Amino acid sequence: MIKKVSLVIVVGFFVTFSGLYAAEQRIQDVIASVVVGSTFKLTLDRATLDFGSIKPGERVELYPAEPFHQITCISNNKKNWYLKISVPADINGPGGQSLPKDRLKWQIFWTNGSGVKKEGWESLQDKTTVVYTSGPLDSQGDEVNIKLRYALDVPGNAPAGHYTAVLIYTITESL
Amino acid sequence: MKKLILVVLALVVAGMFNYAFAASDTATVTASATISPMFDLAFYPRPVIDDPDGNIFFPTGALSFPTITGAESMVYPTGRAASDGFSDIGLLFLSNQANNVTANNWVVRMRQSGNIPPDNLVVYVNGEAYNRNIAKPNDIGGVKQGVGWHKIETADMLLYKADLNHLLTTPWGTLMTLSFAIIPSGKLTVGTVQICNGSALAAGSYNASIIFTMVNGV
Repeated sequence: MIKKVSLVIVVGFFVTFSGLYAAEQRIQDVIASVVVGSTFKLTLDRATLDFGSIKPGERVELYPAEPFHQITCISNNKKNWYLKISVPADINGPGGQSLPKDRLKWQIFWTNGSGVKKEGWESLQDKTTVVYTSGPLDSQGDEVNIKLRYALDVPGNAPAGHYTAVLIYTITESL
Repeated sequence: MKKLILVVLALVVAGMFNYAFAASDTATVTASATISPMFDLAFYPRPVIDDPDGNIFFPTGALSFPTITGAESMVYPTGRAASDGFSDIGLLFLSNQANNVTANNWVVRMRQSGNIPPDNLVVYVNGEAYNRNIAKPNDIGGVKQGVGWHKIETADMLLYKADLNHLLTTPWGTLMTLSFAIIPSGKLTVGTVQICNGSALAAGSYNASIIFTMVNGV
């Protein structure tokens, strides 16, 4: 009988001691911070477009002989942005011959973006042209993919030979 | 409290970074195409491409002659008559090989193959070659058989040689119009020049193919 009483006392003391020990701990608040850098970039799925061999007077579209040309734009700046196209020179051919740049045409076929795209076929022009204007969901860091197709109208009086043109795509946050 | 202040400062710095470097990115793509060479002869007017031309009597190049007695001095194809304003055929010379002006001078030759003796078959060159792309006769420097009647040989004979103005003739082509005739007697003199000096055609059936060849790099 006496043994049982003593046992109870010992246990009760231990519990009290444990409680005192816990009271000495403090959980500190930890503030984790991170700076998310600006992302604003433009990538192309390929840097060449090959129309192949064309007869004078023919119109050739790249698709379906080649897949659509995909442009990927990423912005997390939460600002409107613009995808533009420009062509610094005419379509240069052999012996100083050239074709007018407006013979080369483009069209947005598809985009997953929420912005405003040019509709229908557009001819390349001397001035820079806005291809796509971002929408409200397009500057939150997700990829905006834009698929284009191209066509080339070869004049009937085009001299034979190899022709090239450089297309420059630019994204900016100002028009 | 210190930690909170640090976080605010970091955000301000990040914002300044974006402002200082206006966002822009650029990528280029090169588009290329090869325009194939065109070097071709065609009868004028071409179906679909050219408007019909009522001045060309045999637009497909198939012409026939009536039965002759042998007494005629000159026999025109069926339906044709002297000075009727028509041409038997039109020929278009199409070339877009303008990138090498020296090597791509071209000529058109003609010859006949069949059982009509050369002295009994003649061609009339109606006029200068006509570059339809520049809407005027343009034969400057070109070499050709002169306007008038010529005997059609069985060996290639020069019909036309392009000059530098005719290296690029697409899409409408350089046009020559020609007419043909049978000389039953085998003898034809134009002015003072005797063009044909052969024999009279014997009774029988005759036919000939007239072959035009366009050659470059000459």
